[in-house]
Amino acid sequence: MSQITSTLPITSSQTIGPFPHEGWRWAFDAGSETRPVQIAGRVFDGDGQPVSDAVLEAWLPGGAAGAALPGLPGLYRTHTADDGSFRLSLPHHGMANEPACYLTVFARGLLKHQFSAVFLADDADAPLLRQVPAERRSTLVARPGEAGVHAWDLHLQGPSETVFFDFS
Amino acid sequence: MKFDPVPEGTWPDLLYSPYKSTAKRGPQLAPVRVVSPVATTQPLGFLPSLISEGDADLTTRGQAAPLGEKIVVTGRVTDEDGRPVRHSLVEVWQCNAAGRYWHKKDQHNAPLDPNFFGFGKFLTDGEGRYRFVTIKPGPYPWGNHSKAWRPAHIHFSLFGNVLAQRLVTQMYFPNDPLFDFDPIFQSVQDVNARQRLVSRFSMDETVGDEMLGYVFDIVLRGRDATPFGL
Repeated sequence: MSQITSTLPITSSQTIGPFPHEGWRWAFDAGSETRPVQIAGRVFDGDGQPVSDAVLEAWLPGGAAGAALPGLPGLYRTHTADDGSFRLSLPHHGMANEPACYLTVFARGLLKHQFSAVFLADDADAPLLRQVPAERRSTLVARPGEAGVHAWDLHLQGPSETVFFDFS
Repeated sequence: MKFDPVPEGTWPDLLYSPYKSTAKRGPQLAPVRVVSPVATTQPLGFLPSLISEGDADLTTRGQAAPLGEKIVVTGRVTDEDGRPVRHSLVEVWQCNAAGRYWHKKDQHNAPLDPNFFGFGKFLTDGEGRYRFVTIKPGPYPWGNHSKAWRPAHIHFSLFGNVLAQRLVTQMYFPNDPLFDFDPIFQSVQDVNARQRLVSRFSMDETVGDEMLGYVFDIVLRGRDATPFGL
C-alpha cells in the first residue's frame, strides 16, 4: 500500500563551533553534591585525546522535579573542561527501565549533535538498551566509581565509539 | 511524534575532510535507530519564566548602542507537517560586526565591542514564530586552512517540543561570496538543504529607517503531532 505524504524538508544541522559558552552559560548547571545521581567522566576523540569544548545536555525522563533552573524541568547542561572532563549531578527521575539520563553531545568538529543515554547498570528490562546490539551496550553503562560517583566516558569515535541514537 | 529517516545528504557529512576537526570527532558508526516514547512524545515543557526582559534584543545589553548594522531576524518554526512548534526555546549566538566573539578563547585580531555580547534567547509564539534584533555579524578567519574565512552567520539552538526535535544550526545571509569556500556550509551535500540555511532579505520585515529584516524559517524533524502541538 502506498501512502501519499506531503512533508516539508527539514533544516540541516551545523556545528556549535568553539564559542557557544557565553550564549549557553545561563543554563550551565554548576552541579550539587546533594543530588543523588553523580556521573563523571571525560569526552574523547578518535585518537583518545580529550575534547575540551564539548557541551553535554542530560535530560531526565519524566521531567523530574528538582530542575536546575526554573522553567527548564529535567534539563541539565554542562561543558567539558580543558582535560575533557565533565560531571553531571542529577536527581532520581523514578521511571523504571529508563536510563539515568538521556544525553545529547555537541562539539566543535561535530557537525550534528548526537543523542545517547547513560544507564547505571546493564538493565535487562530497559527497552532502550535492549534495542542496542549486545556487543555495544557497555558504551551506555556507567561503571561504579569512587565515593558513589558513576564513571562514564563518551567516545565520539574509535574502537569504543559510544552508541548514538536516531529516534524513530 | 514520528521521526522518519532523514534523506541522504540533508544532514552534514560527519566525516568531511575539508573541515579538518571532523576527522577525529565525527562518529564513524551509523546511529542506532531506536523507539523511545520518552524522546519522541514527552513534552519538554519550557516555561515563560526562562526569558528575561531584553533577551530577544541583542542591541540593548550594553551601556550604549553597539557598532555595526542593526537588523531584525524573524521566522517560523514548524515540524515536517508544517505544524507550528509552539512555545519552544530558541537560543542564538554570534560574533560582533567586526567578526569577534565575546569569548576568552577567540584570538581573532578584531576589536571587541563593549556594548555587544552576541547572545540571546526567546520562545516561539503560539504560531511558532520568533523575532529578535541584533547586529549583522562579520566574517572571520578560523585557521582551518589558508585564508579560511567563515561566511557571516548566526548560531541557532532549537529545542522543539520533544527531545528528538533538538537542532543546532547556523543561519547565513543571502549571496555571501564565501559560501563556495566554507567547508562547514559545504558539509551539507544536498544543495537544497544547504540553501535552506540561507536567510532571505525581506522588505516586509524591514523596519522603516531603523533596520533591515531577514527571514529564516526552520523545519524541525517530526510529524503526526498530537492536536496539543506535540
